[in-house]
Amino acid sequence: MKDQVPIMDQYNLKDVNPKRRKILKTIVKALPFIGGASLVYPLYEFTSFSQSKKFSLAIPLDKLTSPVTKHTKALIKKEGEKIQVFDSRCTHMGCILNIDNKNNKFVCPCHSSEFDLNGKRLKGPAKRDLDILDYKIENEILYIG
Amino acid sequence: MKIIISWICLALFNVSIISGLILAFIYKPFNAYESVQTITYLVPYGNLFRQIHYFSSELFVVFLILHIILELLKYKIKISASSWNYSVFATLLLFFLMFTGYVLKADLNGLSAGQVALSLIEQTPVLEWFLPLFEDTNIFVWKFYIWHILFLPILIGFAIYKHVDKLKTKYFIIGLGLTFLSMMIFDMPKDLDINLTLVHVTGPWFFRGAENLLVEGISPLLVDIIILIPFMLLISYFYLENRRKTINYLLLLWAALYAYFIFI
Repeated sequence: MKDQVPIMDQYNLKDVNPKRRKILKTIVKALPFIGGASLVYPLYEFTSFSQSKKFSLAIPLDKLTSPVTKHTKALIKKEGEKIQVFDSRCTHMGCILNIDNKNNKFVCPCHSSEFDLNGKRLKGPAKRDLDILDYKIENEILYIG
Repeated sequence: MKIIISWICLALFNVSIISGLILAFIYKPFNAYESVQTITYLVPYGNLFRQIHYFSSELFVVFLILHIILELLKYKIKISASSWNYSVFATLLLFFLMFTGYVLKADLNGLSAGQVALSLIEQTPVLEWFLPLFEDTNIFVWKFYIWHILFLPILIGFAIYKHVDKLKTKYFIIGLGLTFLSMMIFDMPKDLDINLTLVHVTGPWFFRGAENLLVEGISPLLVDIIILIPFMLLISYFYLENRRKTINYLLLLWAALYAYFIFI
């Protein structure tokens, strides 16, 4: 029992480098933050996932009885055989436009922008004309998008 | 008086959270407008819980503003910097929570307000990076719903806990009483069917100032900055001890100008 050396004395404490210990401690403390930070980009990519914004509409031509027809996604103007399709969202803040039949224009119910029936901007705050959507007609059906 | 108002604030928040949890049993974001109408007209006591949720939330904002005004007029702050910052953070998030709730009713006004908010985010530098956190191409209200029922209540609850440090449940009944009183005095705004054509649609009352700024052609970035000004002033109120009176005047000026744009 006399020869037994206290456990702390078994180590030569002079060999301990306090600087190295401090660095190791800092690394251990930083690990959770590094781990958390490494998840930021995957998290952003995960939440950014969205399916295509593209949409398609199929409207029989005989349903287009009035000169301008409103749909949540599109405004359809029909003049004889000529058809024009506009995005129904205002180019300012994206509100769905109303048709002002009395004054022959499209009006934004949110911020009062106005467009003529050819999609040209008449009054702001919108700064550009309406977006024109592609369409095709097959078997008397209007396909949009 | 000030202490009672702050506890009533907390009580109203609790009433709002509990009534919101009840509504969550029936509300379905993939069929949002129909489920709101189901709650209002079909589910027994649905309209009652909806009104409790609506009025407790609105009253919470009113009492919170009153609480802030009384606090600012004292020119002395007894709480720590972190507690102050948490409370400003909670106030900012509260308006966000109210806004998401407005969108969730998914009527013509709600969906238009949601669309304007998304466009505002999309057209603001840096903020545009966060658009995917709010926009869902399949179910419009989905991410607003997640924020409204999950993240925001947790974040605000945490910030309030850091601010108050304890809970007093005895004020809950006062909060509930005030909610019932306002239900008797005021009417809840009607829901507008999405297929209606309205000359003018609006966002929630506190957002109308921002909307009218947009009508005036102010850029979305500037509108965002204007919205954030009071929160920046509130943060600086704590640190600029010698400038508190000036900050109060600036807040008053901001409130007057914003009120002008709300009622313009």
